[in-house]
Amino acid sequence: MLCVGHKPEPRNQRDANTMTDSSWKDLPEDVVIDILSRLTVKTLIRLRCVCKSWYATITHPCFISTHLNRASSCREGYLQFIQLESSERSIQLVCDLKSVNEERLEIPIQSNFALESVGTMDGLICLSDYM
Amino acid sequence: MSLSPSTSKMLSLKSSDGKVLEVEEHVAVLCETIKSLVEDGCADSPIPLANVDGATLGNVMEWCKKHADQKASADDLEDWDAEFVERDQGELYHLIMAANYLNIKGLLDLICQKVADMIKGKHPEKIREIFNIENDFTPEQQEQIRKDNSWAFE
Repeated sequence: MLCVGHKPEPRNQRDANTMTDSSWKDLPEDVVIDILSRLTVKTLIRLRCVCKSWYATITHPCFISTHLNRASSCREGYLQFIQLESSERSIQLVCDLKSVNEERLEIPIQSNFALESVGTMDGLICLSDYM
Repeated sequence: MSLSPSTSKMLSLKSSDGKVLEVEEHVAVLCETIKSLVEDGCADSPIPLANVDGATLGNVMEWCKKHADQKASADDLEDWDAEFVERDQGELYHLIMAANYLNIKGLLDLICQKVADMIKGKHPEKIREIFNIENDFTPEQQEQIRKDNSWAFE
């Protein structure tokens, strides 16, 4: 008999054969949603081509709303708008204060003017080129 | 020396492979599934846990014991948790299934975040390899998905 209350079982005592029998594709859907909702949009867009089931999960409106709610409740990051030259077609985002992850986003519009950030909402950024 | 109240009642938990663990009640009730049984007076010994093997149950109860310890500081728990999730994928998989079945929100959160950190920044091919997922897209379908948002694949 193992007595956990007094003697916690040491790690890695599991039989080697039972350690390899895990099949992540059998995870319950709500657990998959929980895991995926912690990832960034860019990662999720890439992960759509892992398999059909992940594609269906990631593109489902319920998942998108779950992801947005989690991202909105995380107040530790901030958005930094940096455009060094008007010719430069990318802006810099700092999303996570802990790991100081920097992402560069390419601006998908042509403009010869400096861009200004008008505002953001739910992860969308509105840019203006003073026209 | 036990940090728990000396009066704490013991519960017997029986794993899927027939191992019986004696666990203090205030530790075991961190599992909402077990808490409901205790509150309903249905916690007859031993409580059968058909979906959790003995080794995983031992690991789960180790986590519960640490988190039931009221003397542990938040910083202490954070460091301890970080070490707790340093495991191979097989163990993480069994822990996530057990935390889900036993309804332990804190543990489920911890392992889900660990798995999300494992996924972060990896390409789809690597994810399939890590999680043993079969690619059921045709090459054409795959190419179309990449084309739809090519910026994300750069």
